[in-house]
Amino acid sequence: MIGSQVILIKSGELILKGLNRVTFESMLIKNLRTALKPLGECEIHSAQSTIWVDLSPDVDVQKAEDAVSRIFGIANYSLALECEKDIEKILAAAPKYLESTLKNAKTFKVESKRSDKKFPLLSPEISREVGASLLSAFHHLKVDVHNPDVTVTVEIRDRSAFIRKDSRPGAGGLPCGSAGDAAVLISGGIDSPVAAYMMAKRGIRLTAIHFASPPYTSERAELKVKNLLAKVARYSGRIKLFIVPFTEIQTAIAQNCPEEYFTLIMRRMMMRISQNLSNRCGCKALITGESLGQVASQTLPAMVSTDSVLNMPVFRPLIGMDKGEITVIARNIDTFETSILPYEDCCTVFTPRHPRTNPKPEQVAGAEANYDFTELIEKATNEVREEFITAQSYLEF
Amino acid sequence: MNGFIYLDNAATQQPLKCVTAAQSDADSRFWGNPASLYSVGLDAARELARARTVVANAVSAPPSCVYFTSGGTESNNTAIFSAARMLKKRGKHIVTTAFEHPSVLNPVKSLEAEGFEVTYLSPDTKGYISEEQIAAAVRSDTVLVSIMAQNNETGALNDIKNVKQIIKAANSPALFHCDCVQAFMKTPLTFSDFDFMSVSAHKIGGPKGVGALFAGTKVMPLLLGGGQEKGIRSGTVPVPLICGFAAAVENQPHFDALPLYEYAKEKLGEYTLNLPQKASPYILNFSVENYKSETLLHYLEKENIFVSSGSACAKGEQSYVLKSMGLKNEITDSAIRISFNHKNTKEDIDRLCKVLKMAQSELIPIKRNGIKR
Repeated sequence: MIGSQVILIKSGELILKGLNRVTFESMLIKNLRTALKPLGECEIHSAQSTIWVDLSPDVDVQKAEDAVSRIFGIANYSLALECEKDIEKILAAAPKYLESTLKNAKTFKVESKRSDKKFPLLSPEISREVGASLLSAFHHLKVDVHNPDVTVTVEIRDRSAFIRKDSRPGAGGLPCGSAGDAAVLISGGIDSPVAAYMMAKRGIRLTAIHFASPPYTSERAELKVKNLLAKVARYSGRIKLFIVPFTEIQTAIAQNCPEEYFTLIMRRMMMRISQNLSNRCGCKALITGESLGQVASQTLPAMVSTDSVLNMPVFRPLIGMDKGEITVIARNIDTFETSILPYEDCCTVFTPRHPRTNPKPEQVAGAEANYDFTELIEKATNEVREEFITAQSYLEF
Repeated sequence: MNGFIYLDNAATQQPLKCVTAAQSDADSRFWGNPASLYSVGLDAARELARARTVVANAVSAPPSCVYFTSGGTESNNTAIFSAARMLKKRGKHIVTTAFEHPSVLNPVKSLEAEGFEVTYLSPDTKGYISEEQIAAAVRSDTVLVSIMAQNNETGALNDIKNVKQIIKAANSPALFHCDCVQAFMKTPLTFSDFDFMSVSAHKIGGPKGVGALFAGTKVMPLLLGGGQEKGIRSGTVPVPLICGFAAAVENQPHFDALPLYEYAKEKLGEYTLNLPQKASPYILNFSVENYKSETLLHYLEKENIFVSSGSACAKGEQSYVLKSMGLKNEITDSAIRISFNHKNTKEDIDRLCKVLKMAQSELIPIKRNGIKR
């Protein structure tokens, strides 16, 4: 619409995907729609290798930009003002629209693209005219065509003319959902939200599984997990959360299995239940926040042991990262402060004094065989609670 | 479902019915700004004056020494910063204890960072700090002594009656501040024993968000503004909250916690009682060894019984108060605090004991070394 703003989006590596491109792009558009819907009316369509988001005048442009900047599958985006294809109108609108951008710049240049060849001025002429009008509006500015602080682009398209600001980098990655569904095991620590974020970035649509062991763990721990997922959902979109009642299984492990295997067996139980739930909801892989050697249950032999109960892949995007590196991402996606709240989670309830770091598969199987967990696993899987988490689910305490 | 049993009255209390009524009455009748010159303001000012007298009388203080604040934390901060900054030319030494409330410890730490020297008195395993300890710590350059009347986690009562004399005997210019948030209306207190005294309304069934600083000496304000409360506490005075506070003081239910306390001590005797040498009967701290506080708390919650692990302020963290008494980790990890008011009965204690037994038979005990933090 003339006089309103648009966001012009260049999709990322998905343009490389040959014939799949249309699928990827329509997924990206769908994700954009979902993310922008709470902000007001937005028209989204794709044309001339660009995705166009037309913002109606009531939409808060800053909020729309924030939302777009977090959506995966976008290489870069820019904001533009839609104008009538009339050079006088363009000259009148440009200084006002660009004021906030040019105020703090020292140098600028104007580029023009004229895909509508019926427009009476040639591209260099448009650039010259617009440049002159900006120079007379902002006396502190100088033109620098080689290395400007700000590049203003005027595009004369079929629909209208557009005055476009510098493009900004998008979140990269692939549109969520384009890579299929996977379930992340989330405890409430620093690592699992980061792992979820990283897999969402590669196009995974997230489901989350949380194990709750009341009264050993509290309702606050559950709220903490929901808040963490709400932060991740700003990037990934809506997340389905399964909350698994885990007290009975943990109790049975503690009562029937040798202490040094507590954590390992617990993790194997979690994997089994997660696999059941994944099968039920169409998830094709599990995601964990494990980092090699970080704790006893994250040694190579321990992972071999936990994975041996599964017949689906486990994605561990943090496997080769140090805690410091993980923390940097956690801070960037704003999950860190929530993660360090001091509530007991199911992983810290029954920690053995001397956990096995180099378990032999037959030893673990033997330790587990003390008790038939089949029924309890079935029961936990069936008594799962389900909830959807969106970015709006976040509760500030 | 079994009846609601609230045993965490040291965290906060349910407002008394008369408090809610007084507050809402003031909201409809005395909503004017007490600083306004016209009658609507004057009506509110009169109510405020009446409330000030009520609160002052509770500790035999002159009403002119009562400054209404937002609560215990603000009162403690004001007194501590005021004393230290006004007397810093006469000395830069502060005496306090290791088990004060964070709203005392943190201001003191901040002064330490500004160059004050601080002596933290450590209690013995019975949570006791002797007058000799205090006397030995006070020096001629001590400008502030801050010791709480009653500890919020253990109920330990401190000997605060003679601190002013001790300061005098040491030829020290120090002012004595006493955090009376837990003791107010539960232990006899006389304002003349202190230079500063902090109290909070919601610990006695009053509203949250209001308290008082009693000061018999000049005060340097924390907040600058319109000069309300004689310049000590700027900000429009919340008359309805203060009316609620005064109602709680005036209508404080007659309640002797001692019989209930003795009963609980006996019934819970099979657990480790973390008893201070001089104990307030309003707070009982005990440990069910091998069971973590947080787990038990949630188990009890499920049965509609509400208790605290340590104090309500330090969610999920080990109690520094119990640690300052030198108690073992096994004890601090599993500490539970119950605190009484007039609504609690012996039946509540019976039910608590019964549910603790249920918890022990149902929950898996945790051996200390197995607990990872």
